[in-house]
Amino acid sequence: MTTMTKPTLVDRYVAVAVKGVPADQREDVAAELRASLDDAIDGLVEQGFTREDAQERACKDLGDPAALAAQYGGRSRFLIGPEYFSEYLLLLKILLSIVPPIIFCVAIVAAVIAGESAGQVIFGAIGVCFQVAVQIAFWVTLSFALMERAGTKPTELSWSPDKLPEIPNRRIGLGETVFSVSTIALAMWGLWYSQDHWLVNGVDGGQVPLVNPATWDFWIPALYVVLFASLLVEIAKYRVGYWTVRLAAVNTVVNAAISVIFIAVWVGGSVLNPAADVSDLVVSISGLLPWFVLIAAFDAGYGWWAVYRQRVELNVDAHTTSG
Amino acid sequence: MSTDEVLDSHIQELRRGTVVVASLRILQEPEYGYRLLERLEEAGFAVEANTLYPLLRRLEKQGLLTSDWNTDEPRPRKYYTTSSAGRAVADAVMADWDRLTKALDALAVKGRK
Repeated sequence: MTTMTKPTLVDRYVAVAVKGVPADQREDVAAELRASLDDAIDGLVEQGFTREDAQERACKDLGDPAALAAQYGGRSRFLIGPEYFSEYLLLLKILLSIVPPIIFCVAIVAAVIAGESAGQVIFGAIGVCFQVAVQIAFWVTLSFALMERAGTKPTELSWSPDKLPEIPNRRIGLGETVFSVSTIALAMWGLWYSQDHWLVNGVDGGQVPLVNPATWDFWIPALYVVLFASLLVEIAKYRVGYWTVRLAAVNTVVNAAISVIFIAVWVGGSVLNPAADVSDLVVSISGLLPWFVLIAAFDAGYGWWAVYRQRVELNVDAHTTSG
Repeated sequence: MSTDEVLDSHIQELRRGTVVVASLRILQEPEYGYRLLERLEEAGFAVEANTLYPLLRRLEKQGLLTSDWNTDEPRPRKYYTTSSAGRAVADAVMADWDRLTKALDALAVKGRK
């Protein structure tokens, strides 16, 4: 039927539509589809269309040949179907919430050790994290897409009631409070202790304190006040039992105050005793200050996040207990 | 989604299986794809060609239809015929359809009381 002349619209349509059909049936499907199209064209010509218009119309009526090919080939036109989608999402969430943060910490430690500047450290770590996240997303998606096409569902992936997550208990425990309180107490004690004990060689010989005595005039007492406030926040948090908006707000203020003190001392360049011979230490210690600020910001953010999480989960609780 | 679209999507869902039964009934006499499409339309079953043609092959694969190429005419065409298995399936689906219609009618009567 097909002559050696230029391929018609029908030829081109059929060629695309049978692409995905298994080879042994391809010719049969192509012949049938061509006959059906020719029938449709004859019908349109009878209605008064020119043969050329009829060809175009008949192809258009059949729609996207790629969609037709998918139906003939029995192939799915989606990457991951409903059978796998929830497992896919779960695995992606788990991996993305665990791996990039670990990589982030590792990258930061590595960059700090390598002596890079704060900017390089942060942007470098974010860049690595992003790459890792993209890689995870790609390989997980690819694996599930292949599984979807293989059509076998491993039993580990099928759902069962014992896979239901526990409803988490977010009550702030005594352990958490003791840890926070002792960390703060340790910092307070360390500051005090450093006066007489963190001694280094002085420029003029002899032993001098590492921390600049001038900071004791104002900044370190201020830091004590703020640290004391954060102790109160920890105790209040334990007594209430969970994060509240008010606690998160106070926690933010405390962390902001700590940051202000750190930045002020950092900008003033007066952390280390000018009488001490610490030219090697200066660079590395002043480089650490922005990290304290970052930690403070993280801690402030954590409070708000905990409040948010609390709200979502309490909603869930309200439903499960009242229902 | 407007109410019209919602209605359309529900009606489409309801009609999906009816094309199979209608085809299995029409094809008790051999027929080719394009002619079947016309006959379905005449009988009031709106179906797209790009749905029907792959459907015919699936039904053949399931053993509900048999096919034969007719090369006597100038244009060779593939003719489909309902197999005995196809007839049995059509009857079973129709029986279920009747049962559902009665059940729905009963619900409607109950609702009016």
